[in-house]
Amino acid sequence: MKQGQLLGSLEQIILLALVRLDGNAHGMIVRREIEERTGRNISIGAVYATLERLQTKGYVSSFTGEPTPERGGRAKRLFRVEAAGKRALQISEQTIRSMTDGLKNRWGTI
Amino acid sequence: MKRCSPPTFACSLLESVLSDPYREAILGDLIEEYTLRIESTSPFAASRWFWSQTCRSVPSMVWSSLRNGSYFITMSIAMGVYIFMATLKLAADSLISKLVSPDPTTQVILAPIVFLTATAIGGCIAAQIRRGAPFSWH
Repeated sequence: MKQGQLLGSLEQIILLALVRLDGNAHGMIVRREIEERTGRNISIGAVYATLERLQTKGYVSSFTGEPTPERGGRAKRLFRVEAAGKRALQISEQTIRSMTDGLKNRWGTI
Repeated sequence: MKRCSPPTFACSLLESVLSDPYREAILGDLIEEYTLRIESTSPFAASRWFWSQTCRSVPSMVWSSLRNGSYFITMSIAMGVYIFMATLKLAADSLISKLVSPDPTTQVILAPIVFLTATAIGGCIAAQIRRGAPFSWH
């Protein structure tokens, strides 16, 4: 990850969801995981658009699964986090932590 | 017996708007979720959910494909040129009104300045659009 180029909030959430799902996950599973954990009702289009962007950056990789009848004979697109994606998450977390460090007692005054 | 096919028009809309390789994936995901929802809720609620996902997904995917597609570069350039021309015209009109009869030397100095400024503004705006929208669709 280039210096000064932080992950966007949705990019961060989707990467975290993929890490949580621990392995290969498709868009709808990612969407459901985010909705269950955060209450954010994200559209499937936004999830795939972000995954595509993350793939371009080299943070995730994808491959096509087998088509199934319950999907109308359409194949799944499965995603997994790459080492660069995990690094980007660590950098984002460190940045947030260093910015919020010592601010706990100020939340009431903000 | 519950109806098991998702809204046809919504599917056709997604088919026409989405581009490969995500067309199959998104439609498959939506159909799979729709099938699950139709079992747990009413067909109306499942269809409403499908439509809501379709309407909210189309802008994201269109924007994404615009950013990745080469026609977006063409659109950016066209917008840059348009802004350049509009600025040039505005500058020329302003100059003519201020300097009723400008001498040729002033014109020679001012013309490249106007040209470079207008190009820079147009280029910056086009580059900003190319980098990404200052908003998110979700």
